[in-house]
Amino acid sequence: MDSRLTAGNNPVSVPSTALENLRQFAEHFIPASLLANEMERFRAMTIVGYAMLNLLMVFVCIPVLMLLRMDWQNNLIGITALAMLGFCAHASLKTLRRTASTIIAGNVTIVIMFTLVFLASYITGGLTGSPFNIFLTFIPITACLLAGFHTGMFWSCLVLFLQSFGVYAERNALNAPIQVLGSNVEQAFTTLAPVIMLMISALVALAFEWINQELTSRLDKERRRLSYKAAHDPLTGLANRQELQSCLAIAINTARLNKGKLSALCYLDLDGFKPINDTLGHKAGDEVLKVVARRLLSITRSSDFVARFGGDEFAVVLTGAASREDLLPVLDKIINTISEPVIIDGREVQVRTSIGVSLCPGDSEDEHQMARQADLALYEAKKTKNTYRFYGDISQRIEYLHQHT
Amino acid sequence: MLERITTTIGRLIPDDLTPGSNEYTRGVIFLTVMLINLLFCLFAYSWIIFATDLDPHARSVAFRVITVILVVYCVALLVLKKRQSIPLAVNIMMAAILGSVLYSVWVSGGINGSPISALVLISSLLAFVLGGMKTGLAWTALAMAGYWLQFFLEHTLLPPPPSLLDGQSLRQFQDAIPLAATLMSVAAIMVYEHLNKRLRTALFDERHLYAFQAAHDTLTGLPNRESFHQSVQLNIEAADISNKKLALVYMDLDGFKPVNDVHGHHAGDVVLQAVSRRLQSVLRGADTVARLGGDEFAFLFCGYESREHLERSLRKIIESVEEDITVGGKTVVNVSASLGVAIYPDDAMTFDKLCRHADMAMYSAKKIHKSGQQAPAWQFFHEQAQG
Repeated sequence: MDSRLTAGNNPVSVPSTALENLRQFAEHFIPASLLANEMERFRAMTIVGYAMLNLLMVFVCIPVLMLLRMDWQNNLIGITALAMLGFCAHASLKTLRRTASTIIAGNVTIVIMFTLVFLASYITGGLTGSPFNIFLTFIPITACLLAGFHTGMFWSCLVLFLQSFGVYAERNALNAPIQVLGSNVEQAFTTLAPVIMLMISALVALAFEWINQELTSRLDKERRRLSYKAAHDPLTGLANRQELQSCLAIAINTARLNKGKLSALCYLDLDGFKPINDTLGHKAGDEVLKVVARRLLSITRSSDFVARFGGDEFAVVLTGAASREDLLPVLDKIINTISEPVIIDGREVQVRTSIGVSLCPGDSEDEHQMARQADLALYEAKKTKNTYRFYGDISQRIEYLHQHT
Repeated sequence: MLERITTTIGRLIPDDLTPGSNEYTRGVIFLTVMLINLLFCLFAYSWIIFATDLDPHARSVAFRVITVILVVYCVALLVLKKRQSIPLAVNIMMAAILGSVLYSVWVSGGINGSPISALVLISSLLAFVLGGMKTGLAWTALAMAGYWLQFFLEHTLLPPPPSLLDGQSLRQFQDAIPLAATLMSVAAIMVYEHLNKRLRTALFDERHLYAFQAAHDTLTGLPNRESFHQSVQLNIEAADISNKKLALVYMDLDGFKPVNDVHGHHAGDVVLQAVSRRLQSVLRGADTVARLGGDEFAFLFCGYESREHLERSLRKIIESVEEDITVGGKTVVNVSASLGVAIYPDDAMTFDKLCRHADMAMYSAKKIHKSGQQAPAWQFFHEQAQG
C-alpha cells in the first residue's frame, strides 16, 4: 500500500509479549460486558490483579508463618488471616463473574480486606498500639482503584473516622486493648509494616499510572485518526482540498528555494464518468474513482501529491521538474494509464481524463491564483478531452476573452 | 489572593509545557505541594520559636532539620527557574523529603521505636504523583533501600540516640501519623482521579467529534451521503409501519460552476456554506437535508401528503437559494436550483432507486429550465416518466 494512503493510520505500539500474556490471562476472568467499556475494563483488570496478588500473598506467607515458630494460638490466627485473604480473592473474582459490576466486586473485596485489617489490629494492640494500624491507610486507596472515586471517598471517611475518633475512644473510654503477639513478633511486624505499606502504595500508584498512560496513548491515537480523517477523502483515501492547499504552499516554497526547479499544479477532470455513474449506479462510480486514485498514486513519485476534490475532480502536485518538457512524459503517462479499461462487475468501462496545468514559477507564485489558472487550463483541455493544457499556452486567449465579454 | 498564587505558579512552570497536558498538571501539583510544604516549614519555625516548653535539645534538632529542608526547597525552586526542568526539581524535593523522614525516624527512636516510620510510604506516592512511572519506581526503590540500610546500621554500627519524644508526645505521634498517612495517600489518589477523569472526558469528546465528522460534510456541516442513506433507510422503515409516504428530492445548483470559475474555489465554498445555512433554516424538524458532494444536495421529506403541500416547501427552498450571496465582502453572486422529486413507495422501493429517479427528474427539470421555458424548477419523477 502506498505510504501516502496509510500515513495517518499509525500502527499502535505493540506491547511486550509478557505483558500481553498477563493481560490475556486477566481478561479470562472478566465478563464480556465489562471488557467493552474502557474504564470498567481497567477496574476489572485491577480487581483481578488484586485477587492474584492476594493469592500470591497466601503462598508466600505460609512458609513465613512456619519460620516464625509461634505458639499454636498465634499460628491459628495467622492461618485464619491467610484463609481470609484467599477467600477474599475467590469472592472478588466470583462476584465479578456473577454480577459483572466492578463496584460490587470492588466493595466485596474491600469489605473483606477491611474486616481482616480491623480484626488484626484489634487483637494485636488496638487502634493505638498495633503495628497493623497503618494498613488501614491502604483501604481507601485500593477502594478508589477497584471501585471508583465515590466508593473510595466513602471508605476514606470511614477510615479517617476510625483513625481519629476510634483512637480517641480507645485511649479514653474503652478497656485496655488485647495483645496476642509476643514482643519479638510484634517488633518484626513493626519493622515490616512500613515496608509492606510502601509496596502496596507503590502498586496502587503504579496501577493508576498504567491507566493514565493507556488513556493518554488512546487519546493520542484518536486525535491522529481525527486529523487524518479531516485531511482525507473517505472514499479513495486521497488527501482532500484543504490538505491540497497546505501542500501546494509547500510546493511553491520548494520551487522558490530551489532555483531552476518547477512545481506544477495539475487539475484532472474525468471524461465519461457521469454516464457510468448514471447507468451503472453510484457504487460502480465509486469503484471507478478508487481505481483512478490507485492508478494516480502508482504512477506518481512518492514526493508528488495526489488529492481528490469530490466528484470526479482530482489534483496532482508535481515537484522538482527541471523544465516544462520534463513534465510532458508524466502527463502523457497519467492520461494513458487512466484511459486503460476498468472492469466493474464483469463489465468493462473506460474513463479518460483532461488535465489543466499551472506552473510555479512561470504562471504564478500564489496558491489561489494557481488554482484558478489550473482550472482555466482544465476548462480549455475539456474542450478537446483526453488531453492536457498548460495555462501558459492559453493565457493570452483567456485574457482576450475576458476583455471582450 | 488565589489568583495571585495561580499566576505565580504559572510563571514558574517551564514555557515548553502546554496548559492542559499531563506534564503541566503535574508541574502545577508539584508547585502546590512545594508551596504547602514551605508554608508548613514557616509554621514550624514559629512553633519552635514560640513554644517555650520545648526541650532545648529537641528544639535545636528541629531547627536544623527545618533549615536544611527550607534550603533544599529553595535550591529546587531555583533549579526550576534556571534549568526549566521539572523532573530535576522534583528529584531534589524528593531527596529532601525522604532524607528528612529517615532522619526524623532516627532521632525519634529508630526504625523499631519511632512512630514516624510509616511516613516512608509518602515519599513513594508523592514521587509517583509528581514524576510519573519511572520517578515513582526509582524513589520507591530508594525509600526501600534507605529504610533497610538504616535498619541494618541501627543494629550494627550506629545505634540510634535516645528518642526525642517522651511518653506524652510519643502517644500523640502514634495516634496522628496513621491519620496523616491516610490523608496524604487519599490526596494522591484524588490527583490521579482528576488526571484520569480529564483524560476520559477528552477521549469521549474526541470520539464524539470523530463520529460527527464521519457523518458530516466538512465544508458545510450538513450530513453526508452515508448518513443521509442511513436516515432515509430508517425513515423508510418508519413509513412502512405508519403507512406514510416519503419524498426524496435531489437538488443541483444552477450557476454554481461559473462562480467557481470566475471567483475561484473559495467563493464557491462560501456559496455552498451560505446555501446550506439557508436550507437548514427553511426545513421543518423531521425533514433532513444532506450534501451529496459538489453542488448536489438532497432532501428527505417525511410524511408526504399532497403535491401542493410539497410544492410549497420546494418553492421556499428555491426562494432561499436564489437570494443574493455576498462573497468576500463586496461581490454579490446569484445561484438558482433545479430539483427532482421521487416518492416512496410510488416511484421506487429502495434508496438507490429513489436516488436515481430523483436524479433523473432533476435532470429533466434542468433541461426545461435551460431551454428557457417558463416552468417550475422542479419535476416529479412519475410525471416525467409519463411525459
